[in-house]
Amino acid sequence: MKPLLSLTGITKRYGDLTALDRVDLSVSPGEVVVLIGPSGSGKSTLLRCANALEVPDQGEVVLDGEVADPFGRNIDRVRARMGMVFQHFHLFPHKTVLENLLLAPKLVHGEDRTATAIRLLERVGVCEKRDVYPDTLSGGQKQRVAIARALIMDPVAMLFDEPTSALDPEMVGEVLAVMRSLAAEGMTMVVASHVMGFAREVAHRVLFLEEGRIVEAGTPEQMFDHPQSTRLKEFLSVVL
Amino acid sequence: MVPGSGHGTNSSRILIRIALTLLLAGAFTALLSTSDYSFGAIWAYRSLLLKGLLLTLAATAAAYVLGFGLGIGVALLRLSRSIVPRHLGDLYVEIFRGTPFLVQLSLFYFGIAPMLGIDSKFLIGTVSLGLFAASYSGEIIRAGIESIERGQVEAARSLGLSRRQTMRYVVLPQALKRMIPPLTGELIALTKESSLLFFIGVVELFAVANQAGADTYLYLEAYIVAGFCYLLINIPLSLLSRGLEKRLSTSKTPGDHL
Ligand SMILES: Nc1ncnc2c1ncn2[C@@H]1O[C@H](COP(=O)(O)OP(=O)(O)OP(=O)(O)O)[C@@H](O)[C@H]1O
Ligand SMILES: [Mg+2]
Repeated sequence: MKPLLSLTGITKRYGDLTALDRVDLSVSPGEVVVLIGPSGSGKSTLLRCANALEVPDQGEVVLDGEVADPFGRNIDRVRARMGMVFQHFHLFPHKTVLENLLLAPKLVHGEDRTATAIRLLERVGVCEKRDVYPDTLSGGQKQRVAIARALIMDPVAMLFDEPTSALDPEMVGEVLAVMRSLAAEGMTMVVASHVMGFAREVAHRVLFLEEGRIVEAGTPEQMFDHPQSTRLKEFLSVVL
Repeated sequence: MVPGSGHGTNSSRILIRIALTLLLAGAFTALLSTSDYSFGAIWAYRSLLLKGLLLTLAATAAAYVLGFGLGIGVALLRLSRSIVPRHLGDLYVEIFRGTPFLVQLSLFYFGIAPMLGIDSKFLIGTVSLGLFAASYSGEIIRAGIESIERGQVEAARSLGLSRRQTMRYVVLPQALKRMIPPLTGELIALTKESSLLFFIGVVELFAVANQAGADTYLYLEAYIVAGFCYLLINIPLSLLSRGLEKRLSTSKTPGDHL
């Protein structure tokens, strides 16, 4: 199948440090890829290169046939088609929950998507909060709003950078539930996560990164039940 | 949580401040009246003093607006991604903040204005004050913009907003809120700084007071009156700034009564 999102030969350096070293990743439509790996292995950097929040030193990102050139004219359009969910939510604090959702469709497409926004807020279970400001929400609610805010742009793919790492344990479930339902609907997703249970249950493919390289990749069963490399075995023995 | 909850205490605090100020002013007046100060002769200058006060207000306001406009430009230069504009912005700030306003005013009055053929003293003084103010407002605006966390910009850009839209709809509205207190502080400073326009012969508040003092030999009385006039402008501004600061910082923060 033709990949929906493909990253080819992505290299990213910070001074002497090579955060990503010629990483290739292609994601098929509807596929859920989960990135695992120790802290500093390059998971965030890979996701950030994917939608050009970070400029790779080498390599190319193509989304649905369109090159995501960080300095290209089309980059805003490409980004609009790729949803991104951050560890720390980054909701707009000066806008209400509903306004958080409506801002981008209004500015990017000139469309008032209130009806869609309300449907999405209902779907993620925070509709009764639509007129409050984000700072009165719990972490789990904030993250669900952030997911809805990404979804209202009708993305063809979604990137999640440790979406549950900043949450209190009791709120992790509600966010994962939303992500699980997205995956079930066939959303193409790339997720950096420390939650191995989620990776095992939802991922079609798991990638293990270390020091900016993909060390091992495979289905959740292969990766978690029959890890090959010693590095992955060691990593799993620590996190599982 | 409840809008206007801390309101009663806030306005009562302001009332207390005003009462204290009046008390202080009363005590001061009483003190003066016991010795042989004589404000009667200064009273004759009331309409001139009022004109001076209005000129001070006008010069300050015009300079402030000019300074704010130029300040936006300075901030944009300093925030530019390319090195040349960034250095130009730095240079502007360093020069105008690093030299006394009196030196700038003199150079402008004696050096640049004749070259440009400007001879209105008010205009020269105001423009000079505005150029000076721009270095401060520029820094306030830049700092305000930079205080907005990177994640806000990233979230906006990841949704497809352009750089310009991100600035206009995400960064600036949040930054402006944080700039209000320091910008009010700058207005207060500028009001005081405007007294230096006296040096090039603009007949603002201090110049009138100085003249009144020279005419009547009641210098101290004249300067005391001038000082009170500046307080008359700046104390309300200061109260306004504090009020805004409080409102902005406690808005939507539950439990600030604790
Ligand atoms: N802006 C930056 N400047 C310098 N170094 C950076 C920058 N961003 C990331 N790095 C470095 O690049 C490497 C990869 O970082 P990255 O954030 O991608 O790791 P990660 O796998 O997401 O880690 P974590 O699990 O802690 O989130 C790290 O060594 C990090 O210190
Ligand atoms: Mg990370």
